[in-house]
Amino acid sequence: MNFLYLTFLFPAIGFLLLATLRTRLSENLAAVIGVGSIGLSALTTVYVGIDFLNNVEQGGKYVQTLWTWMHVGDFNASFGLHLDGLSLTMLGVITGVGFFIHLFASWYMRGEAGYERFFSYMNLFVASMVLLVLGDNLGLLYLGWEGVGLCSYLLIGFYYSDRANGEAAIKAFTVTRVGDVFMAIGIFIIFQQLGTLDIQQILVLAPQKWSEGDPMVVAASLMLLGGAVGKSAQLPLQTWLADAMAGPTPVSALIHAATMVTAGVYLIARTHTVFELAPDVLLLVGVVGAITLLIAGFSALVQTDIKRVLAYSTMSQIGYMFLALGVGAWDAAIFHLMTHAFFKALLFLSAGAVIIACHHEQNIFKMGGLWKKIPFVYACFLVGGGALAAFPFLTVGFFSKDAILLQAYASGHTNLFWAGLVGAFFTSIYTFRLIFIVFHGEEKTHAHSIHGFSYWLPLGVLLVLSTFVGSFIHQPLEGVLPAFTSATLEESKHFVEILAIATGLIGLAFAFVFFWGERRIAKSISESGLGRLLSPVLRDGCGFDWLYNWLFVKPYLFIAAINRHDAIAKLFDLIPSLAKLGNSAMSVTENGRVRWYATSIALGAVLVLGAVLVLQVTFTH
Amino acid sequence: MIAIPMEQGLAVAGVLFTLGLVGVMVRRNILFLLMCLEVMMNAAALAFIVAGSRWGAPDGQVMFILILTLAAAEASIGLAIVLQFYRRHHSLDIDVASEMRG
Amino acid sequence: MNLSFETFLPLAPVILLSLTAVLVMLAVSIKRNHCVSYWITIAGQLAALVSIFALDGFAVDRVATPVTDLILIDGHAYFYGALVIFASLVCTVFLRNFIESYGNNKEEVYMLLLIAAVGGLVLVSSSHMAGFFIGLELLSVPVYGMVAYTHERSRSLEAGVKYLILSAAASAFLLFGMALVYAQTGTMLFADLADKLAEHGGYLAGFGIAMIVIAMCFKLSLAPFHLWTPDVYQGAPAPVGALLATASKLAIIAILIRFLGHITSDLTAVLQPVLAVIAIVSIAVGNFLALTQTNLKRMLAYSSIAHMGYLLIALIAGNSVDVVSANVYLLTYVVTSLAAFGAISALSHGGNALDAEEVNHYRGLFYRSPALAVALTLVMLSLAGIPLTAGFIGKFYIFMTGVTTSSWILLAALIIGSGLGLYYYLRVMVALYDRTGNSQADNVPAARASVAIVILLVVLVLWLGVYPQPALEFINTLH
Repeated sequence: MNFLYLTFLFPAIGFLLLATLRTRLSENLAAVIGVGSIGLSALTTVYVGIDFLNNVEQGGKYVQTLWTWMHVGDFNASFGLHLDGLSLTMLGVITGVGFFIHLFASWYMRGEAGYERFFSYMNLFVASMVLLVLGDNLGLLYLGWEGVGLCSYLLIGFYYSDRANGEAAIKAFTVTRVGDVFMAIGIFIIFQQLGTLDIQQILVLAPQKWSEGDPMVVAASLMLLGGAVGKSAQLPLQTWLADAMAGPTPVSALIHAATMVTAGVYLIARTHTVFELAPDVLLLVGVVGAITLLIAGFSALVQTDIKRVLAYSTMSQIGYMFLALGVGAWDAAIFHLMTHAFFKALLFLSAGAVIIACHHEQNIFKMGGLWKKIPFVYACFLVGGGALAAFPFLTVGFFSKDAILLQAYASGHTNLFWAGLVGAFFTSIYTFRLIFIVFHGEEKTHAHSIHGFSYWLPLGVLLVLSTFVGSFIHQPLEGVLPAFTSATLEESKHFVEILAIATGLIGLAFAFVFFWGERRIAKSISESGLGRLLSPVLRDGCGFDWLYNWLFVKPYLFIAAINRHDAIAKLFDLIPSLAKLGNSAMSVTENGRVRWYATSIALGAVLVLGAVLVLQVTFTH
Repeated sequence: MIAIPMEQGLAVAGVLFTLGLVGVMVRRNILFLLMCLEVMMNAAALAFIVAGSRWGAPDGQVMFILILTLAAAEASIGLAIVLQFYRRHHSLDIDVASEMRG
Repeated sequence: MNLSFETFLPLAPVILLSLTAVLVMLAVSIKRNHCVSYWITIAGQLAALVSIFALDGFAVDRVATPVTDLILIDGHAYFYGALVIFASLVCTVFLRNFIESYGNNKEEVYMLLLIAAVGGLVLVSSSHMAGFFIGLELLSVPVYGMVAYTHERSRSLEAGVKYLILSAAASAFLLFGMALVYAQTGTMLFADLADKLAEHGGYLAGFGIAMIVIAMCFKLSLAPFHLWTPDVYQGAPAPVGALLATASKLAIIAILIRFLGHITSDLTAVLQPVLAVIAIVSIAVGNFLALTQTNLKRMLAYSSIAHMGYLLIALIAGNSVDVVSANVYLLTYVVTSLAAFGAISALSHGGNALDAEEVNHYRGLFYRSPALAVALTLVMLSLAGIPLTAGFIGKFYIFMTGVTTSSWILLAALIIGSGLGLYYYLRVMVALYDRTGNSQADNVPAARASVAIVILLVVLVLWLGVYPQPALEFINTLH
């Protein structure tokens, strides 16, 4: 376990190498550094993980103090890595899935301009993300949090020559920044109240300092929730994720599906004690999740861009995780986080393969009948989509989503349960809509077949993990997160399971009816009055962009237009002019003449001696 | 022998010191400047002698010798620089040396 | 008194350096050889540095050892002594490349440097007015010569004249002050000072101490005794500037800390408000004047005025000297300043009429000499006190001193000053990466040895900033 720090160090070194050597590297070398650093990090994770599971008792932890920056009086700035079941799970997902995505990217990005720049950002991302999940205090966590935000921004705008991509990057950055401000305030509140940023100490101190429902703890947890919804693209800060698809597809897979967007879930799980002290806020987490998963599910139904479908599905799946957190199903939330990382990464990578096969075409209505050309990708999509739609027993998504629905039901929050079930129904529809449109029906484009080791290995591994095999992975969360308890858990098990299976299958049937073959019904609906009215709204993410445009952007521009001459800045202009005044006044004294210098010494001496005399007299009397 | 009170001795030293300082401020010829500095040093040396005589200890005189040594060292390096200065500017006016400012 | 070999053993660094100076002189008189003089100087300084460690200078349980009445060797003296030797050693390396292209006699400059270093060592360990005086003059007088060493440059000569006259005047202040204190108290030993001051009372001693402090303020270039600083820094050859900014300042602060520790609390209370005003004015003057400066040497001079103002906060806040803060601050300041002047030295040559001192010289340096440009960037960040550099740690300590003693006005000055500082440090950094810049300095290749030392120093800057704990613990174990 002593090597824990290497999980961070390898990607960091990779980033430094790639960033400093830049274009001096050949593509192959850049790929070796970029992918190899993550590979080494993943190997370290495996080693550390085995060591941890064998040597640390259940629910235990391992803390590695890396660095004591300063220890001055009461001020102690030391940084350490904290490994427990939760962070080990996250670490495994980040480095494991991250490695396969990097490997895939080395194939996907080949020949693109800025190949090494791409990998340098990706490595920096992994380093930041590792810091985020391993940091033992909120300061370090925040550092990682901002680091991943920065990388997300850089990678969304990777193809920066297209203005729209730059705008998407700015949008993502701005919207998540709103959340980050809340989170920073939350951290300040916690520090001000508890006097520490160490997460483990916070978990111990919080129940001592705060009673349940204390206004301060409500405020702190609300602010943290603000940060979480920003990062995890939940209502009301969800609007950036769909536009974030402007980045290269491996980025969407790694950052906007598997890891970064789940940071909000991690944050809430990590600080669960704080949220448990504010039950209303915890319930709000669940409600936010439920609403988001429904809205995102609706929106996904009408998307035409293959990646945007997946983006909305990501929002909706993270909604499930939030829902799970809200009902206290901590284990289920993290389990779904992991399985989602597997199958969503698989889906995005397959989508990337599809896009490559179709010559960078992303509109699903211009594809079709691809299953013959790229059968392996088709298989990947089937398994990944099946997992997304929770296809019973064969896929990993079924087990995790079932756990969430069951615990939501057993917790007594039946409204949330029904919302989840409806969401599952829509998930099934839009998933199979996507598969039917892209892979079946008539061929509309001439797709070419694709080859390559670093193309099929990641897909193959993720494919296996997305089947029921993935559900055998045991997450060592006992003792780290509170276990879910409910009297009705066992008796409702079969009821929920049957309901969930039925919903999924009915959704599949609907999708078959609507979208198989000629898609006559679907077309007639979309051409009906209601369809014409609703589909543009849904396509643009239920009009949130429009709403925010009117609520925030327009008023902001209006104020900016009024304040064109910037009255407030005039005030601040005073400072430089004062400084300039001081400068010119004092420059006069530096006239280069020795005799004046001597005079100033004499004058200064007279002043000092006079002052000393006066002070001596006053002090003695 | 009539002992001179310490206050009077120090007053003389103080006046000498001030004169030297004023000289540094108003004189333009570098040689005079060096002399004025010498006056300041010697004023301090005189003050040491006066102080030493108050306490009847040799420390004041030891310091006097040290100060003389310093004055000699300072004068030698000062004259060396003055020589170079004169060679370059053909003048001993200290105000010539005001190229650097601001 | 029994004078034996053991008595003088703790003085080994001083003796070694003096011997080296004599050796250089002999070597020059036998045959002029730049290389030989240089290596003798390096070897002598290394030996002196090693001797401090060999004498267990930093042992935790070491007791203060007096060597005659004049000298008192303790952890404080060794700490500053080691820093002085380190600074002069680094300056020696900077000097070599610089002086190589100088047309006139080269070797004597090493002798002057060594004597100045001896003066610094005597100064930091003196415990008597006479030692104080001898040390200070031994430190100052060779520096006059060094400032004017390249006397073919009219600016160098001008700086020498200015420094000589003003510094001698300040010395006279020091001496007169000492005489007044002696006249009042009858002692020149620091150790007896507090008792005798309390015993004999009177304003005269207070006056004398004020005059001593004035002389110190001049040497530290604190306002209003600061006017000489930019001219001398600009005119002096860059490596000599490095010596002035580091070794000289270090030794004077060391003796000031010692001296202020020996006066009565009544007098401290009298001096405290005066020095507080001096600190605030220095911070203001230094930062304001640096704002529009386009000459890097002058900018560093002004910034050193401000930095000395910050340092003064540690010496006066709360009526007592916060030695740990001062030590930490000086350590970080010295390393950073050495690197800054080292970068200038690396690009300057004694044979040219001017040093590489205009900011324009550094425009686009990144594309000519990336390592040096990156190093200079980090140095500027450190001077500005940006976290994860040494400068931040130093400033943080001063800040903590201000907070624990509730000196809010001084703190405000510190913060506002740092804000202003950011502006002119960043301006230099921007110039380094300005692609459109002219290529004046193209024909001046950076001296390799100097660049290597600068990089080493910058590594130290980063190390002190990123992982300062060992250094901080070490400083806490002193005394």
